[in-house]
Amino acid sequence: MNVCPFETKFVIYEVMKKIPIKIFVVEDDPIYRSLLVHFLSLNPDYQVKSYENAASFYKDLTEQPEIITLDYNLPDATGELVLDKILQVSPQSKVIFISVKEDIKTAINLFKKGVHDYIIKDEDVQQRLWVSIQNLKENILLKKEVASLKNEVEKKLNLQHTLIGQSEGLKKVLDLMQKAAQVNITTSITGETGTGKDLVAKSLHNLSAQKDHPFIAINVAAIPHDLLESELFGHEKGAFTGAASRRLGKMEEAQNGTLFLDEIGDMNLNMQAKLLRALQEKELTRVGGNEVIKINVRIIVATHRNLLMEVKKGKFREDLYYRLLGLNIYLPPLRERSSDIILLANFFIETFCKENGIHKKHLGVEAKKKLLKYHFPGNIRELKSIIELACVLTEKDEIEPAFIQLQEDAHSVYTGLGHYTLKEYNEKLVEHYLQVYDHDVMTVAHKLGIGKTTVYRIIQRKRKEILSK
Amino acid sequence: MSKQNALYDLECLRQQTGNDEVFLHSIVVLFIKQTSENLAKINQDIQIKNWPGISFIIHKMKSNIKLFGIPGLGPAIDYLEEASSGEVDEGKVIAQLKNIESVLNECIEQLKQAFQIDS
Repeated sequence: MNVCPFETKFVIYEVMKKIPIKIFVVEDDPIYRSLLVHFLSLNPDYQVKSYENAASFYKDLTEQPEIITLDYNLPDATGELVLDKILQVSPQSKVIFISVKEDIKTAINLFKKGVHDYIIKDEDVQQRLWVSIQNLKENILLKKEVASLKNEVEKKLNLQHTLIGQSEGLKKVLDLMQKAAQVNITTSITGETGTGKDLVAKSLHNLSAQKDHPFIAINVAAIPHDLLESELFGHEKGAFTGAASRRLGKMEEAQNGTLFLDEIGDMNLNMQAKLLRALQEKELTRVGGNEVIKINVRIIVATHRNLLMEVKKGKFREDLYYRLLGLNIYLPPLRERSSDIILLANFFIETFCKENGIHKKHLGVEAKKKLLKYHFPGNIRELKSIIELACVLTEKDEIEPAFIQLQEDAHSVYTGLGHYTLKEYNEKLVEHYLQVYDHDVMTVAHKLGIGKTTVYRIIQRKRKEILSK
Repeated sequence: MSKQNALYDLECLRQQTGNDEVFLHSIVVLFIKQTSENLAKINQDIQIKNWPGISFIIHKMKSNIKLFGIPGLGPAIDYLEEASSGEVDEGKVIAQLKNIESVLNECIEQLKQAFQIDS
């Protein structure tokens, strides 16, 4: 069964919903205690425990219940004292006070301290408690979901999960990353397109002291030159036509964190001068504004260009080059890391199959040979695409070489799409499937969801073309 | 005993127990036990003039009196809750307490009968 990526979030949410929510009822009145426990226990999603005094409740407080319903007047402590203890030991627990007394002043004081609700013991107590807990339940589930997703992201950005391989080239990269992470030094990442410069930047941020602050990435090449200044430094209301309100720039957004400037080599000279000034003075001024804003941002830059060559050509400022160079991490192209190709391919197969809920596949011997012979001009990004396509095309567990669609493959129907007409494309697709399925017309027709006469007609047409030549 | 003569009204309690008769019975037993104990404590506190203690017990009994739909005790309870602070009019406090005790004892007897609970 295929699982749409959009469904993943829903699945996590559904799983979270099945984890019981721990509720502690602290109530000295045995009648109300019984009523609350009985009522809450009717919901199988709730795991309810009850306590008749503060002392017995404190003993279990380290269990960190999600919700606590608390009687304001306990025999051995006041509600405020118990609340202080909760805030100290289990600050994430949500507290609902249940009191006989309708005292607005007390209620306001409790709300100021972060209490979720204050309910009066009357005929509506159960309904109000139900609504209050339902609201909290949604909130708790979302928090659990966020924590779980955050954990997943952290796992994904973990070095072992991000940078796969055992080659000497990669070991050198990892070593430099560890060094760069220990100090706040400007880091430049160079390497061909598709070598994973953005992943290295994110991992570096996650390893660094800035990890609890924002990681803001900006692709300089993707932003028109005229807009880059506003994008980077922000702008004030009315700074230019269309600036309807003040907007913070990426540099300000990254305050205390990391700003990743991808494709820095594509920045024009005018903007380079402004960036240099901001980096030297550690301050910026928003477009159209006068206020000087102090910035504390770690800078990571990346480029596929040879910046030194760009400096010699006069396209990149020498002073900015030396300021940005800092610690340089060079990512070798995949063809120089051939020992990592199969490891990476296996990793991509596993990830793709898992994320899409399809049966795990493996590379056949011939498919591996085909991959190892290839030079990967698009590097890891290209390998990932090749593997994902192979996983989709392959129906068996083993990926055969025919499904490894390389750019240089003369039979590939997935390259150069723009050069074909729809008719030509259809013919190429049928031809490809005929090769894959050993010219079994019935199977090809079935796989493509077309009639067998269509397949025969294309074969006939191709034959005529060949004969006429 | 007819419903008209009953000193209590269990409609709210029935709602809160979800009309679960067994659970309702257990709550009535708890009420009888709890109220009898509280009344005994109040009488002890009257002897030693522990007015704040009495106020605390009354405060705790208030929600159950409401829950069991026992009418007419509201003003007395409100008075006794406040009576612990400042100068205490002992005569008035004791009179109010005896009124509450009398109503509750009668109520307990009626509940015992209605739910066939032995003493």
